Amino acid sequence: MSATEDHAAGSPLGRDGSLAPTSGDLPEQQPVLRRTLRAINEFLRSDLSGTLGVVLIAAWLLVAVLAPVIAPFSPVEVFGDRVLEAPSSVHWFGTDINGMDVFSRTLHAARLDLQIAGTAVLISLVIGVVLGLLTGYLGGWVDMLVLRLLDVLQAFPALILGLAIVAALQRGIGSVIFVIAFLDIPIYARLIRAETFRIRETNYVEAARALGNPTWRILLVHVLPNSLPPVVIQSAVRMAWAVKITASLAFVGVGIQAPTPEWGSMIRVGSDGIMTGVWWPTVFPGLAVVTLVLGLNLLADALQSYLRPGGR
Amino acid sequence: MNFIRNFGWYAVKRTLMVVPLLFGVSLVAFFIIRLGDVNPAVLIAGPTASAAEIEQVAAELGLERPLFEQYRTYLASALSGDLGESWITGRTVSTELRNRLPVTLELITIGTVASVIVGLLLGFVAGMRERSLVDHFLRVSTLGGISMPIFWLGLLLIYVVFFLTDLAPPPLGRQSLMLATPEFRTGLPLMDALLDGRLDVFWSMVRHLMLPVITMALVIGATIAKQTRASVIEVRNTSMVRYARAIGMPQWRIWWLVLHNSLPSVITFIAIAYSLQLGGSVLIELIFSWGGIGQLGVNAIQRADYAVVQAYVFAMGILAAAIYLVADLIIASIDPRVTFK
Repeated sequence: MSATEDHAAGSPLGRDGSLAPTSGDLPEQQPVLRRTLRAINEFLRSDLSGTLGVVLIAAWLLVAVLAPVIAPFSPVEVFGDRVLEAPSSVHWFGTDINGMDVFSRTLHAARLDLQIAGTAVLISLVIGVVLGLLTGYLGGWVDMLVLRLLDVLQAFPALILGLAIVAALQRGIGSVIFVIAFLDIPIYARLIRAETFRIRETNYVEAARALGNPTWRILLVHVLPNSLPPVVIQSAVRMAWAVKITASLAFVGVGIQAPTPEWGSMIRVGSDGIMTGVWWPTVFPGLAVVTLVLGLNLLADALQSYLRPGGR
Repeated sequence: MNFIRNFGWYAVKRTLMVVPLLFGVSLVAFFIIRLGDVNPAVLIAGPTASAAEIEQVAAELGLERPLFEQYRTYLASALSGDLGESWITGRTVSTELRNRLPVTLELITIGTVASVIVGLLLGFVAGMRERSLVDHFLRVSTLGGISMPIFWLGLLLIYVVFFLTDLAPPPLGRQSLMLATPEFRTGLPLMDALLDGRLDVFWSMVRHLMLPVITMALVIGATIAKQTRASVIEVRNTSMVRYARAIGMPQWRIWWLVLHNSLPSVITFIAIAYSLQLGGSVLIELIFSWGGIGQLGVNAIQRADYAVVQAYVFAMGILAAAIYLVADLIIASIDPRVTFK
């Protein structure tokens, strides 16, 4: 590994204070907060589509937090005399076959979908990063064993494995979170493992080792921070995937069931009417999924070109 | 000669790697449905059954024996071709697989071919015209396609193409309900219709395939397009291509050079797309009532039909492993760097 590549790996972190180690290894350091804000500002200006992505995500986060305030009705309130009513000034997105307000349900569903995606990605991130660091740095039989295990897990189409696990566990939302985390762990682990392989051969890690730093310190202070950029990018992609798979599982009818406001299960309920032209209970929750997932994908793309210019 | 020897070694090694993988896949397929505390005996005996009746059912199914012993029995009989019976339909699982797997395979193979055509075309054009107006347009629309839940797009198409414009037949199966299904020969519906000489059935099937295939082509095609674009750009930026341009190679030869060199990664994407369709077919089959293995699997999963779920998950694992194996071998045969050690 040449010296220039070391710099290339280090430079994006220098720009983003939230990622860089704050141990003072750079001679002149601005306060972390200001550096972070400046980096975010620079990022937002660098890429129009990235900005759009951030706006979409922020909008949905806002909706999730404020849903009880801005939704005109309760998500489970039944209007028995207004079943399958087309969009109107009272029910903006119409009502579904149970006589529930599609608009209120769509807004409320943002809470559940974001919570599931966020929790699951966080869990898989932590476990995956630890696994990746250990296998990548230690190598040997631990590495072999973990890799073969990950191979087996990744051998199945994710949706099928997810369906089977969620249905078997029968724990509703909890098992959906578990399954997404479970399926994402191999992805983070492989990513960090590959980065660790690269970083452990760099001069600064060698120097740290020569100075007698213990392994945990090298991993935590040198390897981890420098392997973060692809993890940050991947996290946006994983969030997008998590939202989609949550909706897919609920659409099939496992995990989250009907009265709970969730986009996929709303589409499942709505899909019965699509052949007879009742489009609103299907179209609106779907649009919600698309806009949120698109926002996350746009963000991932922009982060990709910002954090790893030139890289794939 | 050297290449052939290298390739032979690689092929043998790569194929042998599948064996432990399949063992792991069988383990997962067996234990996954037993993770929870669902008792299939309760489901089979029915809600009014007494405790003694439930116990009797459980004993008949061998559910009381230790898990590992159950697994051993299962593996042994599976290896001899006996996959057990469905507890719901009473049919043997191998019959179900034989009837339904070809149906799904036909669907996802056609879907993958369509996705690959769409994806390669769009990705290649976008990559060769990086940062042009066309590229920006394609980049945004591929991201849109990737962001769409495949089942939602399918439903949307049903609404527009079936309900509003009536261009597509109703999403109620593989062919018109007015026509008799062709005799079971190969199991592949289109093939069987042709073998029966029933062109009307064949045509009806083609029309019914239209919407599911378009749905897959748009969503999976978008994924392939995005990755193709990235690898085309990567290849275009190599010194090899820059040199070709500098010495004034004609444009079509540069295009060929780029295409040829991005082929290995493109084949990987195709393999990924194909295995993605294995999972995605579940959703497609549900909304179009396709009656393939995906629908069988989902029904079995929801009703804890152990024998079917096991076989289904196992079959999907095997298929995915086979797809990746074939892809790796193709890549190794066109890219000597893979086998060169």
